[in-house]
Amino acid sequence: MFDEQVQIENVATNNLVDIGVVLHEHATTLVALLQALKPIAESLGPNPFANSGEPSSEDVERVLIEPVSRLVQALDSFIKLIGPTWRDKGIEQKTWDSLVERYSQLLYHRQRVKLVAFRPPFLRQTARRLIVLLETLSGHDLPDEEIIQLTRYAEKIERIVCLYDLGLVKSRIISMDLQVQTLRDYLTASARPKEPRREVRIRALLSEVMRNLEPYSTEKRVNLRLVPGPVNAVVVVVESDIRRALMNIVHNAIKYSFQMRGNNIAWIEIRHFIDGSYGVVEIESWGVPIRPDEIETGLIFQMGYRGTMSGDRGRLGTGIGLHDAKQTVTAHDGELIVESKPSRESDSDPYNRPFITTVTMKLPFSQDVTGDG
Amino acid sequence: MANVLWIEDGAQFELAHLAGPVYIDGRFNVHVAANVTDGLQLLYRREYDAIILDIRLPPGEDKVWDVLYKQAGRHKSTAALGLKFLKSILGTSNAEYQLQQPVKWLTPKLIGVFTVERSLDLRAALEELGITVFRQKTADMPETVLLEMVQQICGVE
Repeated sequence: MFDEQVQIENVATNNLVDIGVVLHEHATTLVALLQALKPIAESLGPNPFANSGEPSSEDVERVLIEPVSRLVQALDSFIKLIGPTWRDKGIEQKTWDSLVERYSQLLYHRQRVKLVAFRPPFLRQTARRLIVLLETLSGHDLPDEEIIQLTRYAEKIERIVCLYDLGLVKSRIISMDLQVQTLRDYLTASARPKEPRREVRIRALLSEVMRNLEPYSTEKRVNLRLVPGPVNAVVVVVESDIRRALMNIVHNAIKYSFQMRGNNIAWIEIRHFIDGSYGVVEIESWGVPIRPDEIETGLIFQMGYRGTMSGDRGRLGTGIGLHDAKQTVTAHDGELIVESKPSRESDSDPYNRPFITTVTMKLPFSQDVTGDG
Repeated sequence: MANVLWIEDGAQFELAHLAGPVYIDGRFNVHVAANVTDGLQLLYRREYDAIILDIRLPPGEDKVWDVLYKQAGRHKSTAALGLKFLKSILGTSNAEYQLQQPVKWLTPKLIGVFTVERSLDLRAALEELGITVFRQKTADMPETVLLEMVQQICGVE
């Protein structure tokens, strides 16, 4: 659905409302899914990824080192114990071969499965097959304690990876929910009664945007820093439109931020100030590059366009946010400027490194009529 | 051990779980390319026993594919770079980009298409190319779908 370019010129108001209803249902479904995930995660027991945002495959690999090692050692002992007598115990050749194969796959999984992203699901699936195999071994005059212990070790691996998967799904749902909301707001904006312009303090608007995006930024392990600015920075705007524009820009900044290594947290700095006759907001982030030609030609503001590098790490997007923000700011006689530069100069291949991207929103400044400045 | 090349930008993300059964089977190694440029480079480096690819692929660094992508509107879905790529690597006369160096060992029998497009939408194109292995990505597809495609191409169970 989101891959198709949305042609919205000459679409009747009724159609927009219908789309709005569908998107509302979509958003409601996402919320229901998110609510359902929480008890499922709780039922799986202690969660090593709780409260740490979206887990990475490196995170889960680190957590799995010990359980995998224990299972491998236990399987090794079991195979040595039963090895001389498995035929006498009525175990089929195929079953025994499968058991030995699972042991080998677990022991050498790093050498066999070279891509780190493939290892967690591989381990989960191997653990599940082992659990099923161990169930077939009951009733073969085998030591129950060993079988129970092997099963527990395999279940622990399965449980950890399921919790990791739930963490990823939760993060994607949060991201998708925000996109559906902004898409719905954008598509139905013209169908809603026109909101008058009014005086709005930039600082209050930014605080609200940051509050709304806090769950997403926490999930993505990105710290939003609001640099204090003048309290008298007031602009006269359609508040919901400018709020939506800022949400899109900050949401993008979070989405395209690179993760820091180890326990370091990525950051986005949000600044606001007065520059002549403009109230200015600057949003600076560190992450996915935007190519110069995409900025210079205005491609990044084109409806439905997504930057060449935006698909990095499977990031989702509709290509609507920047287009909407640009239209909104222009309609307010303002400017929207994007800059994206390598974080380190003199790099031979700059596009393999993080860029510092700054989005500047300028809106005509209004004197604070209450005199609180 | 048979070598499988999977050209898919979602392979290490939302589709990572599909590779597990291929490894568990024990007979296959999986190599991954996330875009057309990397896919072609891997095809030049070794012969594969099966190639599975998506239709909606990003171009990667190579300017040639980037130009084709731009000409098609810079959207994975409308660019259908995977189809253009197939025509190039199979050396069809109507390929938009004729490779300077053909992939000589490659035949349509070694290729499977795994994409969100419906079979109906791709039937004519795949018939023209001689590709018979196809699966549509759906929400309820089994975890073993990639393995099944590889087994079908390799003629094993």
